[in-house]
Amino acid sequence: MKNIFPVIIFLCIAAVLTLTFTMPIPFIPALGEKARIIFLHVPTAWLSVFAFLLSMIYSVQYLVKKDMMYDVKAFSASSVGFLFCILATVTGSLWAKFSWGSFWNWDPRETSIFILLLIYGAYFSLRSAIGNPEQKAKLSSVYSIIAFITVPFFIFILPRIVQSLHPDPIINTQGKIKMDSSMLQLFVFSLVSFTMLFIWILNLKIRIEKLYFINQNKET
Amino acid sequence: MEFFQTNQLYVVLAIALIIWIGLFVYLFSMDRKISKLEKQNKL
Repeated sequence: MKNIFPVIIFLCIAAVLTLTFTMPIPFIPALGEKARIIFLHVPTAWLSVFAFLLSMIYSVQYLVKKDMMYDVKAFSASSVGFLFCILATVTGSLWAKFSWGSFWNWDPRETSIFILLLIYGAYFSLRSAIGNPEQKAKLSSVYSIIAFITVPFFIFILPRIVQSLHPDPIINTQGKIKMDSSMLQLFVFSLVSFTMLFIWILNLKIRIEKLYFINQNKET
Repeated sequence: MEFFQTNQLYVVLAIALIIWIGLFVYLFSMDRKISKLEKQNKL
């Protein structure tokens, strides 16, 4: 029974990948076949925001309850979020090569995700720089809360107030989802599948960190 | 070679699926190893 969840995830992601490359999509001006990236790029970007939100919530819980397990969960959520943020950057960069001509153009969207990576990179540097576990948990929790305040600004606000070539403000000028129904169905299916994969990876990471924490405490 | 040129999309799909199968096997085996360690540590 326990093994069914990973199998469902395997089948869902395999179906998403197959449909991403084979499903016929309507012609979208300025994007064409390259619009297929939406089924892989957007879920990874959404999950990085979701992971950073989870990290912030766990950090608040740590500061309120002073339970080290919340710090373990906050660190795990940030780690998995950072991984998905890198995936969003790489998939976006590959798309940029074929749409804009080079992998990196310092477009506002690229710049904002780069700054976000630096902010969360600093979170891991901060954690590795402090030896005392209590102090590490306290400082990194505060940092995680402050770091998350910048996420809505860099992901949602900055790329919309500055002129950007990112497709979202170009094809979706009114800020509403206007997508072909078959594309929308696959997009939602992809979001759900990637969210399940995220939950599984986060669960593995939390369990590893718990084991590491318990064994470290046994040694000291 | 002609096969790969005319079916580029399917070649990319096959590579993506192979990578996903590899990643899934890695994650699944890790899941089982963690479960074993949790039993050893009585978690």
